[in-house]
Amino acid sequence: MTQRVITADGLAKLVTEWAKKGAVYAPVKAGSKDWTEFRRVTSLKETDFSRVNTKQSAKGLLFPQREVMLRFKDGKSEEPAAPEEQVILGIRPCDAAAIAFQAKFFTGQGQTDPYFKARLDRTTFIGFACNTPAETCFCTAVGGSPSGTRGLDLLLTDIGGKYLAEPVTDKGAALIADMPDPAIGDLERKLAEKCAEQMPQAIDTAALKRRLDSGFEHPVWDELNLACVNCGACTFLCPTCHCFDVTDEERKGRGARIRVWDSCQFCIYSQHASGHNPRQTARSRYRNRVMDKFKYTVDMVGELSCVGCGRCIIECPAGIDVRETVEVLTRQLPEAAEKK
Amino acid sequence: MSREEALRKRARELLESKQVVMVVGHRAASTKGKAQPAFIAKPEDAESLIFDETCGQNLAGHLLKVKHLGKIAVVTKGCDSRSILVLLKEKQLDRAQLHILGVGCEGVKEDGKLSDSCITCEYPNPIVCDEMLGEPAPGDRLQTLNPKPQTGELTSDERWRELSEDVSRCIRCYACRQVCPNCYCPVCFVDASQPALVGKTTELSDNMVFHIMRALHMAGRCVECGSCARACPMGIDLMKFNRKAAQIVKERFNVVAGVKEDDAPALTVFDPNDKQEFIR
Amino acid sequence: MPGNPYLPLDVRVEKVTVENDAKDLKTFDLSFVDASARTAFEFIPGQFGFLSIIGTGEAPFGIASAPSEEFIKYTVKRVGGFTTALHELEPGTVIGMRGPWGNSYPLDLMQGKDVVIVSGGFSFTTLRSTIVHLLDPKRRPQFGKITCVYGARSAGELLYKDEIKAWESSSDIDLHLCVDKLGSDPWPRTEGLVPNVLKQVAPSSKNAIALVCGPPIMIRFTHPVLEALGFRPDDVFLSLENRMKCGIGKCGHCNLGSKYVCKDGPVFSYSQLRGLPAEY
Repeated sequence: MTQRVITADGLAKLVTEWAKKGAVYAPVKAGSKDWTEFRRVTSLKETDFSRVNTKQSAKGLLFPQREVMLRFKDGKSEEPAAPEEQVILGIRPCDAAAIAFQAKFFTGQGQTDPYFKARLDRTTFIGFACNTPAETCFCTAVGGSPSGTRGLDLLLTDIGGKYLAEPVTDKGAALIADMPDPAIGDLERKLAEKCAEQMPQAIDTAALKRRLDSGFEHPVWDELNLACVNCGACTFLCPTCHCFDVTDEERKGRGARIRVWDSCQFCIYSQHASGHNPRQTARSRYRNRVMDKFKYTVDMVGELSCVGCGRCIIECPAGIDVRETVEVLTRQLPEAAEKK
Repeated sequence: MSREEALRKRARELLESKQVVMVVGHRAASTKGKAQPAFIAKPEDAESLIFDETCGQNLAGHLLKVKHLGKIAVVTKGCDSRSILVLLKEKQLDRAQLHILGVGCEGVKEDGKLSDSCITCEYPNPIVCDEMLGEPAPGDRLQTLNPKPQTGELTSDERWRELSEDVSRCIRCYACRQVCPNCYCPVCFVDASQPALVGKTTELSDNMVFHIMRALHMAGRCVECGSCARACPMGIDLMKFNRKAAQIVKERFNVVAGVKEDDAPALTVFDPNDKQEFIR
Repeated sequence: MPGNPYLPLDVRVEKVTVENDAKDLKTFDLSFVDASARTAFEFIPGQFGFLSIIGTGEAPFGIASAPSEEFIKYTVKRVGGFTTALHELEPGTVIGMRGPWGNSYPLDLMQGKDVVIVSGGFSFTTLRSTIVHLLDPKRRPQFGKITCVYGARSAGELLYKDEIKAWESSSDIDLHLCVDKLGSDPWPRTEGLVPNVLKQVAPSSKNAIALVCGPPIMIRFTHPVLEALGFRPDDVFLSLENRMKCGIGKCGHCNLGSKYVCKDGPVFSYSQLRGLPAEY
């Protein structure tokens, strides 16, 4: 599909147009705080693309932390109205890949989750390639790229006040159909390559997977989990984590059945009504999370559930670095024989 | 010998002589400016211990995870020692099973800035310890700094507005609760399901109930180490709640949590002279 | 949203039966408010559904009725807030139900084979469904000998008493009922734990499939007995329960390693379970 060049003015006009038709979400500086968050904007002026990643990923725009599943009043219940059309502008390739991963879960694997699908069907993803990685970025190590297009409709690369626009889907191509042809060659590729070079080398995820396959009972977990405080910061900030709890909110006969994010790091997550808990220990919960990222989802949907955004590293209150966890596991777990 | 060298040497000796089964301390995290709790069981691993301005985690709570192993040595700055005292009084730890390695603390930093709790800290040195490693930290450091305005100086409306603004950012990851050395209930009130006491959503009302109830549970127990505020991924200054609670407890009962070895936790004592003007 | 799997369908409580002396086990017979939904609700023994009370919540339960029966039957133990609300329901009340979810017992594999059913306590529900299904005169000739060992703490805790009494005298099924402690009640006559009684009954493992459902402790002690009787791991099927919120493999809660109890189970062969973490 034809690449185009968009000037800053051109992008500003597009954003204003999109905002008239539906919601536009983009990174915005979070008040007095030193970070950005996806917020609804009506003009490009409000946005701030200066950070590699937003504090929270864009997952909440497809899978809100609190989502109404049905509303009820006086014994009658009804489904919520369909979500509105939305454009997510400035999503990084890692976060877009994470949503594509979540889509595999929510829209495949048997039943389709209608809430996620309704939002996904009404969302346009406009990505921003990364020109400079953060210290905690490692998308290249887990199969991603700073200019990856997975999950996107359109990828923008900042080429100094102008944007090179690369359509990924027809939807993306249509967005920029009226823009002039590019006058610049493959500059964006070079920028992305330069960025990728600064990031960690790919880890042999297949070898790690084989080690995890037989490493469930290995004593390495006893040491690894000790520093972990079993909070849910990593899971809530993780763009691929998709667990939820379902609960009813009721007051005087009115209310809603809602779902809220849940975390496998919480003790009650796996606790039966009888009180029995298959993952009673902090160690078993920590292991479950790491296993899920690097083994379980590989078994389930054929890919890791880590896109290398680095949020868990930045925010872990115990200073745990998942790259180090992977390194320790690869070093200490014996490699099981490769399965036929 | 530097303090860090002394620390490593003593850790190694204690482990080699089997006086302790583990040394709980800090080691450098792979991310610059961050430390990670270290659980050292082998003498040779004592080399990884550090103590500097990145070591902001209160290690007292981590002791609860490893106390079953036997006698534990723990690297203890002022606030850690206060938490240990609270835990000892609440019968969560056994003093005989602890070897407290005291260190003077010059304050811990986040993103290069001194942590708010360290600005207002009056106890940089351990209240209780078995041995001091290095020199105690100067006690007058705090007078040279200007503590930022306290929440208590705001009107009730202003305070509510400010707290609402802060708390609305909460994502309910419970990092504050989990890092808190004195928050150790087997089932937290927010996790109770029979019946459920607090909504699980991030609506302001649910978030506010969580934070206010937590602050009340911490009143008279919080040692103002600031771990919760530093742990919060959303940058909420949770100490606004806890500082206020601590201030009230001090005014009412003349008790500061974890600074004396022999006093009872403020809210476990009934005194007929307690102010009871709320009973009308 | 067409085909929203989270949307409960209206069902009417037709009958409520108290099952045990402790009165904490009740069986609910449900009919669809929209009668055509009954035809659409096709299930196989071993599957489960979610019962829902708007404003209170929902929870999963194994379907206790056989596919051919008119009403959908669930037996529920009162353990928490939601089940307490269920227990308070009067006949005529309309509640919600969604499902059927999960796989089922391996009916195809059981064709032409002996079937050994082992169950303890109130987990007998989906096995009642199975037995009623197998004993259908049209279907009974398709299976070999059917042996069942079913036990509970006491006689009063056995489910579906009238029915199992009738099965005791039937030549279509060899039913062994047992209780942990014999009471004054002359029925049943066998004292002993399910695994021990199974050992005495010693059903043949030749060309046989075993179906097991019970509390974790019973499952743990039953498997060695089956193994000693010569059952291969491929021929032993267990029905598991894990905490679940969605029933369709989205919410994450019920995972056993890479498998979800709700979607890939709840019935697993023992050989499958040996390859999965024992987190159930």
